Amino acid sequence: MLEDRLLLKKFKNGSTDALRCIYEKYETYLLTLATALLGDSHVAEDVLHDVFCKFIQSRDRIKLIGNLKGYLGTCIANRARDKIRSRNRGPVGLDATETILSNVDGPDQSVIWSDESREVTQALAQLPHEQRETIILHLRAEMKFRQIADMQDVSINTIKSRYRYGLDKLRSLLNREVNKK
Amino acid sequence: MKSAENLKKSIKRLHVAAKPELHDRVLGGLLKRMEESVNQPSAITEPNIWRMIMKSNYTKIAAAIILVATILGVYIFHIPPDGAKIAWAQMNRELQNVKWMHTISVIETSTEKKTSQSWACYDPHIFAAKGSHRGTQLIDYENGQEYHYNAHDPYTNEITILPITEIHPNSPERLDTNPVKDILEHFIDDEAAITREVKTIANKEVEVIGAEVERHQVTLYRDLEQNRLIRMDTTFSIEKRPLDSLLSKARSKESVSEDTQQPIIETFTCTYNFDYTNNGPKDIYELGVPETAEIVNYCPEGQLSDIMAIVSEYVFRNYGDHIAIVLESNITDDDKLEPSTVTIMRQKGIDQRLDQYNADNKDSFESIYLTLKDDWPNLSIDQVIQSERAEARKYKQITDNNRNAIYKVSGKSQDKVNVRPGMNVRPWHGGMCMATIAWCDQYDFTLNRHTFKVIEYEMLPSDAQHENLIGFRVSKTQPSPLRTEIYEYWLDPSKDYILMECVKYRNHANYYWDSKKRTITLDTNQTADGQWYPSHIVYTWEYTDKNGAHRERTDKRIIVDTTYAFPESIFDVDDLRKTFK
Repeated sequence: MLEDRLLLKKFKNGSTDALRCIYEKYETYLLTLATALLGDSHVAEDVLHDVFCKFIQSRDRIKLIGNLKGYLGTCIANRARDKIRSRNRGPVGLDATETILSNVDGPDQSVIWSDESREVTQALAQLPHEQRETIILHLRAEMKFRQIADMQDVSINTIKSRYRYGLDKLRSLLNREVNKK
Repeated sequence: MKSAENLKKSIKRLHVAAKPELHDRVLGGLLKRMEESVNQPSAITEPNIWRMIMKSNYTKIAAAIILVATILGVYIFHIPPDGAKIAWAQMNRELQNVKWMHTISVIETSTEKKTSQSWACYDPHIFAAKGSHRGTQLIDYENGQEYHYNAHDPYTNEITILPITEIHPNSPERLDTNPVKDILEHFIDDEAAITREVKTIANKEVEVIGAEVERHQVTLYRDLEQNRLIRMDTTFSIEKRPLDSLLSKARSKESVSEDTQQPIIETFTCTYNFDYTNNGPKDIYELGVPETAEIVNYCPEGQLSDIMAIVSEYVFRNYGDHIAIVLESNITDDDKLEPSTVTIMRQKGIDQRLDQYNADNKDSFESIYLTLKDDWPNLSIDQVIQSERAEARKYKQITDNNRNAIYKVSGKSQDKVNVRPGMNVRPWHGGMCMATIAWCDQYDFTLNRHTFKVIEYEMLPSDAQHENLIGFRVSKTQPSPLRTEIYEYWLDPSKDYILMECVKYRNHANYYWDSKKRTITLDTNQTADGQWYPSHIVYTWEYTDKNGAHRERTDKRIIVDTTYAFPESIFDVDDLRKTFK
């Protein structure tokens, strides 16, 4: 924690070394989060890049309330949501879901997956985004339901419902896969 | 088959790593972007005067003047276009980029005339002044240090180096800056009458812009050839409380009602002359301070300096908009809690309100004890709010910065409201607020600095009782007679650096000795937006006096809510005034 605050202070003063340290420290965590939220490692790379560009651009105005990890995680979640909205606004083919899944499996990957992560991310990609986001932010980003509710601008009960329904659906999806095998 | 628990574990273990090519590509691009951003400051990194003014508690005259010019420039937008609008806009931009601004100020009242000089630079951010009532000072905001030399004090020949924080600026509200801010408020809120003419002054063609609102007048002089603001004259009047009322208050130690005093109108006439240079004072010696002066440094250094910079940010933020409840009890010798005080602290933007009520079980005072005793100390915010009763008050204060007024109600027998209109008021970062309960502030280290000349800082190694905490000691010594004060602080870096333990030891005071004040945070909690706060504190004071050894213990239960919806008039100073008229 101390290190993060000092890094942030140096980063705000223009230190490229501090930026490198922050990036290297949270790259994997943020990439995991983005990939899980988007179900697409290529778009996740873009989101990671966009978030850090914005981070650099607005460094003078950054006023951290919680910790740096949480801050960057929230930025990733917000940017991912924007991406999904803009994707939904664009032309959507009948095989939109398949497209997402193929990006998890594709051969030209610039990311390294664990087998379990690939399987779970594929299943997560089949959930409605609101449920997926709630599950990932709560379990992987360790955010409280209240924080997620504030972020999504809905009640805490809605978030709890999304979490519960999402987990149930995810479990049935994964168990269906196991039964197929 | 995946159970729900296994599924949760799988999600918690999700792991996607970037291959080296991706890592290098993204990071390389970001580092390049960062370098460009640092070397070619964008609009974002240019000095933002509004931000400087609003963010900085130690607003300085030069920045304020630039703001006046900017605002007047906006007014000129309403004048039919004739080139002036563009010229002023250009000037404002250039003024924000000047390296150093040198100001000679002359302030006159009916009784005195003061002249002072100041230099301001924004990159790096430095302010220097001499000739004011504060003596000679140089403030290096980048390094968070103020160098101060008081030429008027015949007993010392010292340069004092103090830490600068946003909470306690070490330079109290200055008479010569407040009026400017005050005028701005009027310009923003009311319609100013604007006049404009071109004159020749000292062989220079000068555009003269005048603005007048109520009792405030401002005249700005722009050198047309150089397109620079070269002078500003202001005249303003403020209401002051009569000196005899203040003296009688001081003698009787009682508050003076607004109704019993007639305000005095004091008029100030100020002239500021500006010039712009590439260089300014590099250090305090260039302001005429003798090199023989002894240096007394109160600033923490190294790791502690970094830690205090971080803590200062938390303190300054003070949880943002919030309500905080503090339930205070005395702890008896047999460890029972005796309710004592309920404090409610509210903050929204720059408005703050403090309500303190008696909660003790004594017949002699109005108290809210009966309504709260059954659930004490495990009360909800709503329970406490519902129990608020005007009769049980100990203290009430509202700071309404927009109208620059403080209202105070103190004491049961007086029932009086102190009104201080026309004063610039900051939120109470240094007073009774959650920030002062949750964190330590380096301003505390410099308290009593006129008595305790020697100050030492030392980081403390973590021990079994303070695992994962950051500890440091502040030792202050008075050489003769030998007296010491030792403070030990333990902060939790994983919980926003809140204070987990603080011990203040003093070996001798006037009426007691071997005083040890110990505050321990027994429990913590988080607000909905993730900010940490101490939710249970125990304070113990052990000391010895002529009657023997004593021990006093206090228990504090705290709730902070950052999502609370405040009723419409809760920060309305007039409402409070009417209630206690």
